[in-house]
Amino acid sequence: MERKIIKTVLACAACLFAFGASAQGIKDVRINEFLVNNVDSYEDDYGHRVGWIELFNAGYAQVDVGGAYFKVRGKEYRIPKNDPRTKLAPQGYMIFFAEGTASKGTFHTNFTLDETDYIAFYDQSGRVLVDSVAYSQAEMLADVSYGVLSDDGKDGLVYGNLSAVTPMATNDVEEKTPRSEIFRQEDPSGGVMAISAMSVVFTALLCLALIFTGTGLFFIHLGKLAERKKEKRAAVMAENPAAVKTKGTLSHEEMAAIAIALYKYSENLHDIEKTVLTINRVARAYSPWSSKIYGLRETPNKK
Amino acid sequence: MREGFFEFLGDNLAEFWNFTGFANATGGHLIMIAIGLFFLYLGIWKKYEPMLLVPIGFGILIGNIPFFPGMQVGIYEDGSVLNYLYFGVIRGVYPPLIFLGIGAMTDFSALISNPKLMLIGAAAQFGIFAAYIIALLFGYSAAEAGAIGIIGGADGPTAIFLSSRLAPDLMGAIAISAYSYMALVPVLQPPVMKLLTTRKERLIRMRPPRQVSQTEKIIFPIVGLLLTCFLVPSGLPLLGMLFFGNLLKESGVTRRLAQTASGPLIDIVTILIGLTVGASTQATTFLTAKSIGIFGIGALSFIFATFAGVLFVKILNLFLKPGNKINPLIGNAGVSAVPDSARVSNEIGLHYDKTNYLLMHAMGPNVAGVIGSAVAAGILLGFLG
Repeated sequence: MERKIIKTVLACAACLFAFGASAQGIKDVRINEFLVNNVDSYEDDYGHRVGWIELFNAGYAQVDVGGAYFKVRGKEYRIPKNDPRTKLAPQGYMIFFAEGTASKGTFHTNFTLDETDYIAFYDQSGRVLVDSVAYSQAEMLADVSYGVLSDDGKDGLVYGNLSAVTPMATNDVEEKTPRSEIFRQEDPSGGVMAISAMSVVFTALLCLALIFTGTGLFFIHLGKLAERKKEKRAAVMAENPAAVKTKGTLSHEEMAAIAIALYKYSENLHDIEKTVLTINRVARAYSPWSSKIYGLRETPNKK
Repeated sequence: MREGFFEFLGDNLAEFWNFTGFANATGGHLIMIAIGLFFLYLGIWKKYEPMLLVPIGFGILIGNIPFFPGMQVGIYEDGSVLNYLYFGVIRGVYPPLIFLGIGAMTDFSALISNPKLMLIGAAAQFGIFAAYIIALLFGYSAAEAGAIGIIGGADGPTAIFLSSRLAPDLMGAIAISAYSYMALVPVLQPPVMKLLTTRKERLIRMRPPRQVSQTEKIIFPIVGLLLTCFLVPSGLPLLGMLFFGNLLKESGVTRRLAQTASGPLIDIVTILIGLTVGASTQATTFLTAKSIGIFGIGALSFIFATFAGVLFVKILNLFLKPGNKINPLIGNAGVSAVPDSARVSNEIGLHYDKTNYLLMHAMGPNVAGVIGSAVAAGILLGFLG
């Protein structure tokens, strides 16, 4: 009965975990970039230039988008399941061509982007919205893609027309100055770094030194207290030995009585000696190497 | 038929010759092999830090055997065995493991019994930032200057850890420079120590350290971790492992773990780190003007660190009562070359007074230097990483 309960609990936990993991996985997917008016830009695998949508997996686990849905005004496209190519790698990209024909394979949707002003991406249930973007057809210029301009993590995603079309790549194409070089521009001589870093090192070790000076004083004080207590007790004992009776200590009379009792007992143990010399072989028959408990299997317990 | 056979044989031999080290050798390879042999000479015959210089020296030989590119044998070739072993260096896996072992080996009693010695460990980190400033003056980028500066901490694993993050291209030169100067501590530090101290100061006798209870020894790694890592979280991989190793040692209930960390584990990692760092000095990537500059700045950083440590003790003595004064000869031990710099303090102290043993006192700033350099590395990583 107990086993059944444990199994049930474990199974439930596994299901919950699996559900949580998969839910978290698909939630990491976002519509990263799309191009509505493709005149002279990225071609599909048939050599046609059509609108496309780029998905990005912002998480650090692979996500299978098979079975998930794209929904636009009046239409939806279910990404076919069981296609190994629908597994979106961590931090990876995937392109879907919005050609309006559902017969060209997994990555070709049954809608086009110029018949809608809204793209939504739903999970495999078709009910949970994962990401959506609304746009105005009038703002969609030829060969200018629309997508995530920045992801600063505070204000969320900022969408807009991108400076370059970047299918299967990050939208952030501007060259950034490394943080270390920005720091150098602010502190070309290194003086600020030296002063601030030395201050931090000193602060860390000074705090440690102060704490352990305090701790040391505390332990020294404890030691002195213990010593003083010992001295005090010794002094009292010297004055009046019978008066000293604390927990765990015995008076002299009690100790003498115990010693006599032990002596008598030990005498009784050895009152008669046999005076016979015997030599026994010193042998250790038992060894873990020869022990049966290590060498034999337990008999199966069939109830 | 016979002509065809000899032609075939000749072609094969010529092709074989092209794959040999002799055909691919350059002057750079020969120079690096000579440096590797010199390291082995220093390690084996002179006994300068043999645990480090022998693996590094042999690694330099391995890394500088010339070969035809694309055979998946070089340390920089994807898929080669050496490349897999090198992963632990470039991803900073080995240094924290070494710190675990160091923590499990280190007795912080000297530091706990006289906590003001920790400040010497902080002062000596000035070498790092002096080297950073000099490297900037010589035109290195800020990240490169930070990685070069850490040589002044005199701590090989920290140097490897930081350079792997800030300037991976210079890591070989920085690691070799740090380990070389750590081995040369007995040569580099004494002149600075003698220059900055008077005879009277060298004869100062310090009070013997008090007995430290086990409770204090257990509290130290816990408080040390919480305090330093809350202040500098980027130093967590090094400081976390250092204090964890020390807790394993001092708790008294994890003796086996402490023995493994301070014995087999640190030995294995030292072998791997020494060999791969040595092998990373492949002539084609190592022999550059930048590498030579790193060696020069590295030497200066050690000198500045010693200078700052000794000078700080002299300043500190101005505020201490007679009888509590610190011998400035232990100031050099603020760099984290454990226990070499503490040994140097002791030897110079004994040179002037045959009965003045400074080793235990010098171990205080020495282990504080380990903490200080890890904190400094964390700061550099935080600012420049």
